[in-house]
Amino acid sequence: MTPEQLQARRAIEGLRAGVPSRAAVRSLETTQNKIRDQFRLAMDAVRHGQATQPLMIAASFGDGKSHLLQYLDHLAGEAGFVTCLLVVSPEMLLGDPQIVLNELAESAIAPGCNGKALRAMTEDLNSDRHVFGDVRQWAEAAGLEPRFLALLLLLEEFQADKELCQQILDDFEGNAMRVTDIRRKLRELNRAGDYPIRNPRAKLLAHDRLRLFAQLCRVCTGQGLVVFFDETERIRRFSRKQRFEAYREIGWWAEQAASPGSGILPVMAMIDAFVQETITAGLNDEAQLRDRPVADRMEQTRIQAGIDCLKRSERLEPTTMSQRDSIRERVRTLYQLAYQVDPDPAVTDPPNATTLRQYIRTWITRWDLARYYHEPVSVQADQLAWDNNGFEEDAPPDAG
Amino acid sequence: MNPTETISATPKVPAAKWLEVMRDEYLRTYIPSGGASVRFLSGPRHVLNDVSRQLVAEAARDNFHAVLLETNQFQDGARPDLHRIDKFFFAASDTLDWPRLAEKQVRGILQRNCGLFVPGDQPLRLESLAAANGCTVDDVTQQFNHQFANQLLRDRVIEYEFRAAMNYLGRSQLIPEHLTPATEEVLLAWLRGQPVKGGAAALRNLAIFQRITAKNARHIFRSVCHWLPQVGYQGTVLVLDMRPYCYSNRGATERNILRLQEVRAKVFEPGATIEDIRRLFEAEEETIGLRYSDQAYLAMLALLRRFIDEIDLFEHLLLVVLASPSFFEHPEKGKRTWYDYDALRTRISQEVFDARHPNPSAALVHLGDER
Repeated sequence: MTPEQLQARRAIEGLRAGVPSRAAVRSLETTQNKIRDQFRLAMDAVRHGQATQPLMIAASFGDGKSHLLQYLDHLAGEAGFVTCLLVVSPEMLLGDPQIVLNELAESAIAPGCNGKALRAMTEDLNSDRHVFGDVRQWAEAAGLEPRFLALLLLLEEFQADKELCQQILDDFEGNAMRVTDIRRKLRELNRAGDYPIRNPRAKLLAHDRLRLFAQLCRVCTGQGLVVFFDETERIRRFSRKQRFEAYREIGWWAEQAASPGSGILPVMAMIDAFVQETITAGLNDEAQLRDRPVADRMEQTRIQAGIDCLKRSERLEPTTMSQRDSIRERVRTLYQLAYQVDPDPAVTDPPNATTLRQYIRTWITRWDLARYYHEPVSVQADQLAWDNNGFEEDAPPDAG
Repeated sequence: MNPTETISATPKVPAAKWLEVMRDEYLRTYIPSGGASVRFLSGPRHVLNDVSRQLVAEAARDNFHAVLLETNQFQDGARPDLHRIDKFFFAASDTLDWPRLAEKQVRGILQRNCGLFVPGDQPLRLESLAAANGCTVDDVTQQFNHQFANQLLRDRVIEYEFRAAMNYLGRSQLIPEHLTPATEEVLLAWLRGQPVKGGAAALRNLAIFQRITAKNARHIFRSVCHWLPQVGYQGTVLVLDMRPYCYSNRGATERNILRLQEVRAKVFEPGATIEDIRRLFEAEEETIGLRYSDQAYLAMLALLRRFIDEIDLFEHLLLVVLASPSFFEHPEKGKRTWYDYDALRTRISQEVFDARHPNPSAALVHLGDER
């Protein structure tokens, strides 16, 4: 296969399965021009150290949210940002910053590299010691825990000690170095007295680590970090306590985006019914928040900020007929290239297809079946049952 | 007819047809060219067993690194636990002969990149290479170092520590003193996830500072899939048998009670077929062997979901997942089904279908019983 055929085939494989793929988004791009333009502006703001706000995207199931996220991920990667796509789930609890940090550290992709992003980005910094000095100055101004100022100093001064550098990067990713080891290295620099190192629980340091991670992305790439949260509506399956924690964390991410020079741009995608079913009606979380006694005003404010973010999500624009025709022609061209056949351009749409994803899967399925069966076929679309019964161990949605 | 309603109503693909499609459209073209794919397969037990063995055997004959990953038995006294990405990687790469592959890479570089004549029937030695090519040992070393660095060390798709490991293994094939036998043993143990007493210090000297764990195993696995064609493989074919995960790990007595109730209900059910009852007994057979907790089961589903979402980060990889037909049925209390994890179900479900013509290229295929 030629490289072009391979890319076309990759795209078709992803589209057939209804799973967004990098090859597919590169070929099909997006019809969501307004959101794309907003995203570009937000990236520019982050690049120039200006404040911005999270991009919140809502649409019905199958209408292209995940494809759009992949496309924006592609744009960000092309622009040189570090990107990370996280799928909210019972394993990826949005409300636990330590879990988010773990996932981010493992999944973030530095442009043009495999392997963990932090390692890949800092690998080439042998002679750029000043980078860590710049980050250290930022960390001090930003009020990060002294341990991170100390670690950045050690990173700057002990560049040749690869093992130590790796331990420090591991600390930034959530695997804390022992305080005694940090102090020992500081003593070698006669700087032990400059940094009162504490060792609070990892969860309490997770926010600092996330901010530091983003800052390192910003200085190493000249751009920043874009974090995509997909399937945010899965918060609905969490307990009330977990949902409020998730809203609080969304509020935190919004604060970071609004902080000039943070290097962070969060993007969140969700089903459009989520806000009504969970926040403004249904589970009615916003009313529950108002009615509960305020123990911690900052936390309350952050939770409300998270809820406000979710409520102002941008709906995807419906795909017009002519856009759909254009997409069909592009998918047909991809299929032609991938399989070296001439797919029927007059393929009809199934009567009960409602989402763009179903249309695309129908076209591809028809062309597949034409290759295998050489007789008339009748492809139909079915609505997937969306709301599952939940797994037995999940807490009931209203549990506190 | 909606194939998502019941498995018995779902049109089936003949096993031979599915294998033909895998052979013609994946193993001959897409995978060797760099593509990657995840496929789910269900069907009668004997059909899945036959198909999986056949696929692995054919792939191995066609020079793929092909492995059947079984999850129903202890391996060397330990649970396979393939729902963990590090254990998955170790199982997938267990049969790779790393020193031999490193030697193949070095031979390839010397021949293709350095343009040297490499006698095929002798161990690689600098002195004999220099003599065979009418140049000095220094010439050979310099050319090799330059080309090896270009090919391996600058390949950013290959994860840092795996690069370091292959760097040392590769150089030691040409310059045996580059790596002591003890250090090679430690390096091979690192690749296999086996602890070696005192090995951490030896690994640090090779610029390897971390064991292979859940935090880096995915990156290393991706690197291996990318690297294997450089040492002669067409790609990697893995068949993961997740059927044992499809059954709850409830106590035997409770299972037996449930099973008897199901059989009795099925026997008296109007319209029940012999195939329905046979499937119940096949399901009984499949419950023998290792059982997995709910947590492990969900971890497996999450692992598979992630492979689907990230498959286009991989190259030269075909991952086929075997699952029991009962997994794709509607949810029932006490039973494990794909409804337990919407994120996976919505990615492989057949929301678009022809009721009489199943698509062998679909992400999820149900195989028929041709007996």
